[in-house]
Amino acid sequence: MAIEVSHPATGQRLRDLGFQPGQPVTCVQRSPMGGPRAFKISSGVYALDQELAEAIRIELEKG
Amino acid sequence: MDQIAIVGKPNSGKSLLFNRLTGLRQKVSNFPGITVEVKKGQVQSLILADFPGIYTFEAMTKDEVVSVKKFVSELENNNLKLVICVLDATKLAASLRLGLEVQYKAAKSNVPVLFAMNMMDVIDSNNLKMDFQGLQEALGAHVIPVSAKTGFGFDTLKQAMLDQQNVRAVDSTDFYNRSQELAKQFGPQTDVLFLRQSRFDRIFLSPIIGVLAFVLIMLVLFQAIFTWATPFMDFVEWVMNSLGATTAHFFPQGMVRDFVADAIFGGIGSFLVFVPQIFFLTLIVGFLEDSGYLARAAMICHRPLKWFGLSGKSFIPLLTGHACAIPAIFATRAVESPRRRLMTILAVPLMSCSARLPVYALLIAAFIPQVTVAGGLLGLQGLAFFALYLFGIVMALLVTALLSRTPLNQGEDAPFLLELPPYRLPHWQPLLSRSLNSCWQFISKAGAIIFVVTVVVWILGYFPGGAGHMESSWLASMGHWLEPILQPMGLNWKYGVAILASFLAREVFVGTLGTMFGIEGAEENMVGLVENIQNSGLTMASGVSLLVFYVIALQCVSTLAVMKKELGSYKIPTLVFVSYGLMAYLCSLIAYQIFS
Repeated sequence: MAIEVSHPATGQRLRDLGFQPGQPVTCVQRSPMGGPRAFKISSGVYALDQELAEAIRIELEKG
Repeated sequence: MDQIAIVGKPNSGKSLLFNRLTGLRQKVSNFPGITVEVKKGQVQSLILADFPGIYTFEAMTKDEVVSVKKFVSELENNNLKLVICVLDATKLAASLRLGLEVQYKAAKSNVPVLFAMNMMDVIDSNNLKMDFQGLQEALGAHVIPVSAKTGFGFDTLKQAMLDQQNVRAVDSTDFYNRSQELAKQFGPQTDVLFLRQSRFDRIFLSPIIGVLAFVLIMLVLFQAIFTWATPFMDFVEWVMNSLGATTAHFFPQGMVRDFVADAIFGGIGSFLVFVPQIFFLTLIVGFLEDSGYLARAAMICHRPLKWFGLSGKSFIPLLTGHACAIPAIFATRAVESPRRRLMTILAVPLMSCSARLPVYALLIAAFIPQVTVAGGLLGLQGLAFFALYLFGIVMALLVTALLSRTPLNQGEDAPFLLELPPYRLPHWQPLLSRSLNSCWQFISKAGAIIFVVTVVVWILGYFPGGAGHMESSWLASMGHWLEPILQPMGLNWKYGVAILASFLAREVFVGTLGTMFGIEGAEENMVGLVENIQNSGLTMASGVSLLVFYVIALQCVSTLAVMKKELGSYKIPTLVFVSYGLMAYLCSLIAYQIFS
């Protein structure tokens, strides 16, 4: 996982919450009308808007 | 007196813990909604300070900035004897991430930290295991298992607060990795809890059912304010009427009796009727907040609100704004983007707050017939209420959609990031105390203004002629100056005086009219205000234009003062006041033309 956010404070916050390289992340829910999506990481579930979700690069896990 | 700070992650049950420690009877100087101010309370010989929840010391939103700044300054000024850091046992890694940083900062100021491991009821009911002894040794500080919900562990916690705790020096600043290690080594396996949360989320966040559920919940909310509160409102009205009738007879006929009947019971009594509605609104909003649903509602609303220049996090302030604009403006601190926060602050005053309720209720009762439509399912008066609320919301969205597309609004933006807390069954005690507290806030804040205004209006309207001679009073000659402005809407000077007085606070409108009709009617003032208005020759078109005016105009000194405080300038509140006033006048003129 890698994060490229234009807003530096948000990037730092994401890392502090546990959006870190090597950590598993699951998209648990897409909200209606292309709104924010909910992602589960080890510390909890967070809603991120599209712009933010797109800034997080992930690798797909098999299975 | 020694001071103890309580800190922790948002949603870690900090406020409930604080309320339980201080016994809930403490005067909590906090508005409902999110904790955005530091609250203080007392336990035995100690002062407890509850700081708004933070994730790390790198504050992002305005509420976090307030919390971090205050906490750091209290630490640096040696004002703290102890820091209680509340940990959420169901989210140990994330709570420890903050806990380690708190310990690090506190050690620098030589202040000990005590950890309260909250949510133990959830851990126990799911038969989860964790190693307290190991964690305690690794942290070098006491870790006390508690449940703020059930009260488990509070005796031990209170004792530990009185005992001397040790300061543990911390050298590593890699809080994230250390917290992950500790949680893995000593914490419980909490994946079970997540399964339940995602089952609910599949319903509440699903594209179709989720939106339907949202609409349904909002409908129930507004329906409840009008139906559940009605018997209580009738009761308050009956009490005020009987008290007024009985008390007035204790005084000899003349000035004092007139004052008691017109100014005290006619003026002030008329706004107390609306307290039950405020109670139910704050109770239900509090329930939704504590259950974890409001975060989902914010997520669902984000996309549509973004188009109007707002954020999903604006939803909570806008909802709170239907009770009162003041806590709502404070609640905007949680909106992460400064420019969307400004837009939210501008939108809040257009939400129909409870102070407008008396005005709406009075005018609707006077002009809208009490008939049912759609086969007896919907009342016309109820629909009129709904239309007024909707009109306010539409106006607010229009204003923010337009302003957010002008060069005026080029502040800093920040992306939307929101934690979705687990669903919980709310505890009735804090809910109840918060709702009662907000009713009391309303009564004490609005009551003082209303008392002063009604007394002034009564004096100006009573003299020099006395009862039954208001046409020749000082108030009448002042009111006649206003007539040219009001003529286009078919309003006479009495309504002009009531509107003018209500620029201090909207509820004053009802009290002022009550007082004036009381003086005018001299002895027969026990006739209801609704009938007085109907008999005063006011047309329906004038009634509707008055309603439209009250939806838009920013007639609340306290709201303007809070806006100034939050934005740090007089410029924006002044502009908002003037432009909303002009907009209100213009729209009510148009409404008068349409309905006459």
